[in-house]
Amino acid sequence: MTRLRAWFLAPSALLLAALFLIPLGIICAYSLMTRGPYGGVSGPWTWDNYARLPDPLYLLILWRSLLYAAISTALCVLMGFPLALFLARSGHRRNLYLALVIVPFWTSFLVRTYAWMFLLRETGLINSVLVWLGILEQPFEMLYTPFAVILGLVYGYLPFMVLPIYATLERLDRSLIEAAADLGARPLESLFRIVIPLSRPGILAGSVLVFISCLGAYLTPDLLGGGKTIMIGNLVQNQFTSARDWPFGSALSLLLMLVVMLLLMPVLRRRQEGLL
Amino acid sequence: MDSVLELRRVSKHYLHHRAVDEVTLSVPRGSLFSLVGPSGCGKTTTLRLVAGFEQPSGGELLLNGSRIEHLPPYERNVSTVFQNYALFPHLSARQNIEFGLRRRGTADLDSPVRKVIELLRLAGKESRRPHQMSGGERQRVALARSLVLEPDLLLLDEPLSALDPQLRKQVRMELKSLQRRVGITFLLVTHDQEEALSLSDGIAVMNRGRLEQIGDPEQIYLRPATRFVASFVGAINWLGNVGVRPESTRIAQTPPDGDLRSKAAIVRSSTFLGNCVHVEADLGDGAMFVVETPRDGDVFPPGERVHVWWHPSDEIFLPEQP
Repeated sequence: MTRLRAWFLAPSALLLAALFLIPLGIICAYSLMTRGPYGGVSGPWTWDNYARLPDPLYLLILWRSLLYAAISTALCVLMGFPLALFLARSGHRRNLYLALVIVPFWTSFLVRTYAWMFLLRETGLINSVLVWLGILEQPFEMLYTPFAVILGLVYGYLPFMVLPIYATLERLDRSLIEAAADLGARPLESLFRIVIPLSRPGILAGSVLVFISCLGAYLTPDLLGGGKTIMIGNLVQNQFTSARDWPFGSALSLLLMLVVMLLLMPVLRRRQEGLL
Repeated sequence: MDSVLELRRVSKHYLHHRAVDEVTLSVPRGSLFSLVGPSGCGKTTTLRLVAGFEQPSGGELLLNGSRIEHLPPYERNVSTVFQNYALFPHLSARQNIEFGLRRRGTADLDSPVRKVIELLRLAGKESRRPHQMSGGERQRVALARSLVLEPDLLLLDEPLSALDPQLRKQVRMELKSLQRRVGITFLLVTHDQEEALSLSDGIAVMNRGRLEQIGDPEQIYLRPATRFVASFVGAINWLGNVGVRPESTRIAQTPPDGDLRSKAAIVRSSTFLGNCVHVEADLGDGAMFVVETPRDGDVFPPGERVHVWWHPSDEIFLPEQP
C-alpha cells in the first residue's frame, strides 16, 4: 500500500522538484550573487541585492501591484459570485454555460490581451463608436491607464474565481436553501445568511488564485498599462531582460514570494483549523 | 371537524408522470396525521406542495381556510423538518433555532428559544455545530428550529429514517408525546406502515399519486378499503376475495370444530421470531400461507400435514380487481 502510494506520488513529486524546488534554489543562489557584464551571474557572494530592495520606487511598484491585485480580486468576487450562482442553478444548460466560461482559454492570453488593446485605444472600437454616436466629442485615453490594467486582470482571471465558487455552490445542499425559505427567509436573506457563508471556501480559494495571479502578472500591465502602471512582475521581467540584472531580479522574485506567503498565512491557517 | 389543512383535488404533473393526482384531504387541527405509501407514491411531493417548494399543477391548498398555493414558502405559516434535517452547518444549535425568529424580527428571542431548548432537552448543546451533534440531537434541533415559530402545521419528511434502528422506536413515542404537549398539528410522511400505525391519529395511504384510503389506524389496518392498502399496512394471505392477516391465523393438527374457517396445508418452514413463530404453509396450490402463532403452541416441523384456521370475523373481504 505505502509503496503503491509512493509510485502514484512520484510523478508529481519529481515534477515539483525539477520545476519548482530546483529553480527556487537557483533563484535563491542568484539573489546572493553579482550581475555579470552581459547578464547572467558571477561572484562574489553579496547581500547587496537585498539592500537595494527598500528603494521608494520599488516599494511604490510593490504597493501598486498589491493595490491592483486587491481591486481586481474584489471585482472578480463581485462579478464571479453571481455568475457562479447562475451557472450552478441553470439546470441542464449548466454544462453549456460552463463551457462558455472556459472557451476563452482556448485562445492565447496574449492574443486576447491584444484584442483589448484594439478595443481600448484612442482609435479603437469603443472610442470610435462613442464618438460616432455623439456621446463623446473626442476619444479619451483608456489604454495605458490603471483602468485598462485592472480591466485586463479581471477579464483574464475571472474564470479562476468562477470555477471554485461554482464547485462549492454545486455541492451546496438544496434542502438548506429550502429550509431557509421555510423558516421565513426571503431570497436575499437566504443568499446572505446561508448561500454566501457556505460558499466561503470557494470564494476564498478563488480569491487566493486570482490575487496571486494578479500580483505576479506582467503581460497585462505591460500591454495595457504602459510605463505609468508598471507592476512588480514587469519589474522582475525587466531585470532579466533589458536591465540584465539577474541577481536583483531574483531578489525581487523572492520578495514577491515572501509577500504572498505572509498574506496567505492567515488564510491557510484558518483552513487548517477547519473553520472553512 | 375543524381542519388546519385542506387539499382539494391537488395535482402535480411532471413531463411524463403524475406525481400527485387529484388528492383531496383534510388534516384535523391538533392531530398527528400521516401520509404513507411506498417510495414514489407522491407522499413527499404532496408534503413539498404544502410547504411551497413545489407548485401544484392544479387544485387548491387551504391553510386555516385561506388559499396558500400562490404563497412562497417564506410566507406560509408551516414549517418543515427535513429528512436530513437540513441544519445550517455554519451555525450553532442556538443560531439554527433563532434563525426563523430573526427573520420575523421577533424582539424577544430569549424566552421562546429557552423554552424550546428545554422542551427538546437541548440545554448545554446550544453552542454546538451540527457536525458536533449526534443524530438524535440534530433531529431535536431541527424540531426546535421549527417549533419555536409556532407554525400552524409542522411537516415532517421521514423524520425517523435517519436515526439508528434502536433509537427509532424510542423517538417515535417521544415524537407523539411532543405533539401532544405542543398541540401543533403534525403532518408526517413515512414509508414505514408500522411507524404510521403506531404514531398517527389519522392516516392517508397513497399509491401512484392517488389516495387509496383515509382513516384512523384501526380502520386502515382492520378495514382496508383496497387490496393495496390491505397489503401495504401489514402482511396478509389472500384466498380469492378474502384476506386473513397472519396473526389472526392459527395452526392445528386436526380441523377445528364450529364455524371456524380452515384449510388443509403442509408446513414448509417454521421460523422462531422471539415473540411468535412464523410458519409458512403450502395450501396445495403452491401459494404460501403465512401463520404467526404464539410460541407456546405446538411445534410444526416442515413437511407436516396441518390445518390452518381463523375466525370468520377476522376476514377482510376485498374483491379482486376485475
